Parts: sequence; C-alpha cells; structure tokens
Amino acid sequence: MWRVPIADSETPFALLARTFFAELFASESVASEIQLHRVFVWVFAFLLLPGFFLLVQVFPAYQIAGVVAVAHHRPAQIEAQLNQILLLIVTYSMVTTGIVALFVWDHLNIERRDAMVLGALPLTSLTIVGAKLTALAALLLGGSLVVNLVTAIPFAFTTTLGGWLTLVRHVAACLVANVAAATFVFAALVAIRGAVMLFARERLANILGALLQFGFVVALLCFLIVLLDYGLRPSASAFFVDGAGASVPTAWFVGLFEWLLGVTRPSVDALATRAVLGTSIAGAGAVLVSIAGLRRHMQRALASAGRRGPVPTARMTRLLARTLAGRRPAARATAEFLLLTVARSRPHQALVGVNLAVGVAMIAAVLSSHAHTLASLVHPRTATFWAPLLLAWWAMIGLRAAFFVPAQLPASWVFRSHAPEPERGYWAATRAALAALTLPPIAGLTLVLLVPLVGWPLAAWHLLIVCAATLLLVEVVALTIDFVPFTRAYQAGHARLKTRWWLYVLGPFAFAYVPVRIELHLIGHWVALLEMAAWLLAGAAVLEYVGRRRAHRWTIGEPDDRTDGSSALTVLDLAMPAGMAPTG
Amino acid sequence: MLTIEHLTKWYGALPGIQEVSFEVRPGEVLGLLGPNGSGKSTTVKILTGLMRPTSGAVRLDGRDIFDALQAYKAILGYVPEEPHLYSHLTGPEYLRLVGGLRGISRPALDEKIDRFLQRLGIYDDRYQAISAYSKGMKQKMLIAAAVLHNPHIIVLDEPFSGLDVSAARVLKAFVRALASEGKLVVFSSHVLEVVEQVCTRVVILKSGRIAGHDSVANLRTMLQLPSLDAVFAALTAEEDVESRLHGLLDAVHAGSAVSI
Repeated sequence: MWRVPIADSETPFALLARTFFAELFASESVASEIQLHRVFVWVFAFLLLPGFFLLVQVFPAYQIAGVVAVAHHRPAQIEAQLNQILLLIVTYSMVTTGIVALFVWDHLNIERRDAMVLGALPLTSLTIVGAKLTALAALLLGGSLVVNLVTAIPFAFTTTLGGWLTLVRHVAACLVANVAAATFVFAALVAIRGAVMLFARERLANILGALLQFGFVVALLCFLIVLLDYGLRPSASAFFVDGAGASVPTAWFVGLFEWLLGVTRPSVDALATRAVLGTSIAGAGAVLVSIAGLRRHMQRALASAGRRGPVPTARMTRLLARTLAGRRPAARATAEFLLLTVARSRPHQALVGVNLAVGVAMIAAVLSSHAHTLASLVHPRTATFWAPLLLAWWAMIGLRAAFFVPAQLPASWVFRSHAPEPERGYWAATRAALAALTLPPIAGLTLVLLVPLVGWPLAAWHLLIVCAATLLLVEVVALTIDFVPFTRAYQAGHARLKTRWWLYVLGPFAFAYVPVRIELHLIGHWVALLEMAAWLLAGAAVLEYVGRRRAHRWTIGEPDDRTDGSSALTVLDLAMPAGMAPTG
Repeated sequence: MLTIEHLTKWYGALPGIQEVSFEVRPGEVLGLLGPNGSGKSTTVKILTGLMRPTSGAVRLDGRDIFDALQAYKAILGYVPEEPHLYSHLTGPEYLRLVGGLRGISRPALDEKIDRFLQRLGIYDDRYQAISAYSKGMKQKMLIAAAVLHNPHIIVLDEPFSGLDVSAARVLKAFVRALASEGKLVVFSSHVLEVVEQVCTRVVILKSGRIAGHDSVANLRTMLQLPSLDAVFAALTAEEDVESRLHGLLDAVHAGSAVSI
C-alpha cells in the first residue's frame, strides 16, 4: 500500500499556494527583493493616487453639497450625490483591480509548465487548482483591501450622520460592495483568459491581454482626470442607478451597497441581485476554466510541444526599419531583432502601452473639457491637432523605457560573441526601429483622425509637420541610448524620475502643444508652414550628425569576468547594484 | 595555430584555472575534458574572448587574441554549453540575426539558412518560435549559428547535448570533416566515448590545472589503461564508483518518504 508523506510544517497545498503566489511577481526585470519592493511601491502609488484625489476632491464637495441640500430641505439630492460618490468609488475599485489582474496576466491561469512539473507529483487536481485559486484570491484580497480601505473609511466618516454602529455598517457595506466589485472584475478576467487559452491560441490571449491592459490604464487615467475636474452631477447618478445605465456592472455594486444598508427599493434589489449573480457567475467561470485548463494541459503535457502556429512577423515595419537602418548587415539584423522583440514580447508592449495610455487620457481630458460637440471639432484646433504628436511623444517615451528592459538576458551572449565592435550599426538600427515603430502608425492616425474633420489639404499639411517633428524626436531619443536595446541588465532608476520629472511633465507640451500652436498660427501661409517643417527636419539632420559621431561609444557588453557558470551569471549580475551592473 | 600560454584566471580569491597551457593545430580536434568545476568553461570562455584571463595569453599565429579581439571573433564559431537563444524569434530569424551581425549579405544568408534548416531537419518548423523547439532542435540552431560564417576556429562546448543518435552521428562526422579542412576545433565534453571518437588529442583538466595532455592513444599506452574512461578516472583521481554508488543509494533510502 502506498503511503504519501505530508510534511510536518507545511501541507503540499500551502506550499503550492505560496509558490503560485510568489510566481505572480516573478519578472526578468525584477531580480532582487529590493527592486521588487520598489516595484510594489510604485504600482501601489500609481493605484492609490486616484484614491487620494477622491479624498481631497470629492468628499469635501459632498459635505458642502450636503449642507446646501439640508438648508434647502432636499434630502433626495443628498442621496443622489451619495450614489454619485459610490459610483466613483466602485469604478475606482474595479479599474484598479483590473490593472492588478493585468499586471499578472501571464500567471492568471494554470500553464502547460505547471501541468508538466506538477503532473508527475502525487497531487490531486483539486490541490493544484485550489492552490492556484488561493494564490489569486490572496492577491485579489490583499490588493483590493488596501485600495478600498483608503476610500471606505473616509467615505463612511464623510457620509454617516448616525452613531458608531451606523459608521461601522457604512464601512462594512462599502468594503463588501467594493471587494465584490473587485472580485467580479478579477474573476471575469481569469475566466476570459482561461477560456481564450482553452479554445484559442496563446497569441490571442497575449493580444487580448495587451488590449485590456491598455484599456484599463486609460480608464484609470481618465478616471483620475474626471476627479480633477470633479463636479457633483446627480443626473449621471440617476442614469446609472435608475435609468438605462443599470445594466452597467458599476451600478450593480452601488445597488449592493444600498441593499446592504437596508434600502428596499425594487430597483436597488434588482441591482444587488445582479451584483451577486454577476460575481458568482464570474467566480464559477474562473473555477471551471481553471479545472478545465489543468485537465487540458495534463493531456497536452504528455504530448510534444507541438506547433503553436506562426508568430507575428511585422513584415512591413521590418521592411521599413531595414531600409532606414542603412546597408550594413549588422544594422539591418539588429533593427529586425528590435522590431520582432517589440512585436512579440508582452512585457515590452505593456510598457509602451502604459505610456500611450497616458497620451490617450490626456487627449480625452482635453476633448472632454474643450469640445462638447462634434461640430466644434471640424475646424483646426489644438485639441485635435496635437493628438498625433502627443501620442508620438508617449510612444517614444514608452519605447525608450522598453529598450532598457532586457529580453532574455542570457541570450544576449549572441551579440557579445557574434557582433562586430561598437559601430554605427547599432545606433542606426535603434533609430530605424524607433522611426519604423512610430512613424507609420502616427501618420495613419493623423490622416484617419483629421481627414474627416478638417479635410485632405489641412490633414496633409499637418501630416508633414507631425512626421518632421517625430523624426526630430527619434533623433533626440536615439542620442539618449548607448547600447543595443534589450541586451543590458535592467538598471533601476535609469529614467531618473526624481530629477527629470519636469521633462516628462513639460515634454508633451514642448513637443506637441507648442508646435501645434505655431502651426495653427501659420495656417494659410503655406510657405511659412514649409519653412517650419524644414526647420524641424534640419534639427533632425543636425542630431543625426551628432548621433553618427557619437555612435562609436555604443557598447555591446563587456567581456564577462565574474563567474564561471553562465546560468549563474545572469542572476548574480542582475542582483548587483545599478552602478556595478554589467552591460552584457 | 592557437597557442594557450600559462592561462590563469582568479575569481576573487578563488582560482578558476592555473597555468593552463596547450596548443591547437590546424586540422586537429582538441578535446577538453574534466569533471564539473575543473575549469573547462573558464578555459572555453577565455578561448572565445568572452572573458579575459588574469594572466597568460591566447595567441593565434603568435598574436594575442585580445589585441585584435574583433578580428579573432570574426573567424571564430562558438557553440555554448547552455542553449540560450532568443526564444521569441523563429529559427530562420535567429540565424538571420547572427548572420547579419557577422556581416553576411542577405541573399547569401537566406540561401545558407535554407540549406542549414533542410540539412538539420528543422525546415518544416521554420515558422515556429524557438520557444516551441525541442532541446535537440535548439542545439542544432546553435551549431548552425556557429558555422554560418565558415569560421576558421570552432569551439564546441557540449555540442551533442539533446541530439538524437542520428543527428549526433552526423555531427561527429561533421566535426571531423571541418577539421580535415584545416580548421582548428576545440571540443569540450563530458561524453568520453564521443571525445574518444572525435578528438585527435585531449587536455584533461582537474581543479583548474592540466592533469593530462596528449593523444588518446598515447594516454592509454602511457597509463596502461584500456579506455579513455579509465584514463580520465585515473588522471582526475575520481572517487571510487562503487563508494559513490553506495553513497547515492544511502541518500535515496535516508528518510524515505514512500514505502510499498
């Protein structure tokens, strides 16, 4: 008879759950505890920022509105405003949870590797799936409690007029409603990814993940902007809670909050029921796809890796990059490598996506505050003209950030072993990749956005300015890099946000706003517009000359003198202090 | 001729290799043998220019390779021990990257790559990312990348790792054929049978020093032992296999978790 031992200190379930939890934070660019803590601090700071704006913008406004409503004997107005605030809090909870889930997107479901490793061990499917879901639940609860406590307690203090018991009920109801909302989003994302992985290919899941991540970050930033421009609008609340917007999940959880406080209106009951049902269905879906995923992977684990289908080739962009890189084979090969890495590496795409999301949120903010009707956009104006340039700026910032994050660092030996000495090729390849990745989409966007609004001639003129300015920016960014992108160990703090924050704040205005204002001033004076484009291109040419002269400084990594084992090299090198980190 | 003179490498206070000297002549395959931690990888990394020695020199036709490292690298092909490849690239894309870095023009490169993929039996998988490749296929990619530019010096570190019997047989013949063209081949491996079949001479390292250096036949004759396996055991003074075996079995049985 078989006797399977159980460790005295920790059950296999607990050990597995802990391992799965640790796996959620594994990243090639985060190699030490200190770096990991830094990442946590930044992520939480990013997520908590809108929460603090809620505290300083919304709650005082509510108190003032409450005083006015009491003075004018309008209790219904207070309730509508309360719902409005709850809508904001619930939205905040759902969006932040979505971002947390997308942060660990690749680890949301049981993978083939898990099945291969764990399938051979004496563990039941229940243990494996249970441990995975426990790890995810720990992340969900930890994250959502931190985020929601920040808003729930001040919310209760602001909105409660009764005694301590009422206060506690408000805190509890707010927490339950928000954690339920967070669970709904998180479970839905686990279920969606699991279903895509079950029925489609990994590539589709990756594309979906990138799009969702982009969407959620845009949503969070737009939310932040809405808060900055906050004004209590009870009509919006009525739309969501009682009107057509009741089908929106956010409203369900506002209803759940009210139901928990004992409100017995039929509309509230219906919303609360939807909240409970929606969360249950999403949770059940997450459990089911996890079980099905494990079974599917167990079956596949025994078979060979098999074919995964062709990978994205980015053919046209590569062709453009090859052309821009010049005739040197090393430059062309490096440019292709850079493009394929961006095209296929989700962590790098995520960095670009997050930065682009900042641009999209800025455009949305300006449009929402300055353009109330479509008719107001059909003549040249900053709100529309600066959009392509703003996106070009943030795309470039994102690409530069991505270039500093290594892609499979141990494989970079190929550059040290096969590549020629630092030469112009790498600089040429990098600027070619930057141009190929930004110019075509930005040019396309300019035409798609502006042709319907201002017609072909104006759109074409603006396209000329946008292309010239983007080329100038490509040259500037290429000057700030001196190594083959993706091949160097990540150096924490390379962006120098503490000292260069002003560049990131003022940069978009200097690059996007100022040129557009000049361009709008010059519209009708076509020679002057041509001169403006010529000046921008001349600037790009000067920077290109400087870059060419400095290209000999580029490195492809130093000979490695540290240790003997190549697998150990990476770990040791990555964990070294930034100043000592190797370049290869 | 590649001459290795008194190579010494220190990792802080720890010696990697000490006073290692040998030479590799055109047309011969030199085997580099040694137990784990003997300094094989250090020697290989210095030979490939990826690491500088603390003292000593590697000379190609009398010239220190670190004086003209890029020129040396241009005629060097290297198969590393670990198959670290950019797994998001397909096989042809990886070879195009290597070929491009080597300065091979695109039309010639594409033709070469097609031939390599066909001969190595991975042509049908050319649209797959390397992450989907088996260990043997990855090893074939490394081998193709190492000889893509027709190098004069070839350093192979465990090149048969993961290869099936048929591919290993082809590669053995391939290595001998490359040597017969006058190339210098350094072959580092743990598989003694393969080294015995492929190499002209062997250098046996132990604790960072040379324990033996001669042709396989001479070493066998000198030590009056029947095989390279026995020569290796004698020169590296390995612990008795029997006692190791008993130690391993003891470890298996100690605190046994599963019983029948």
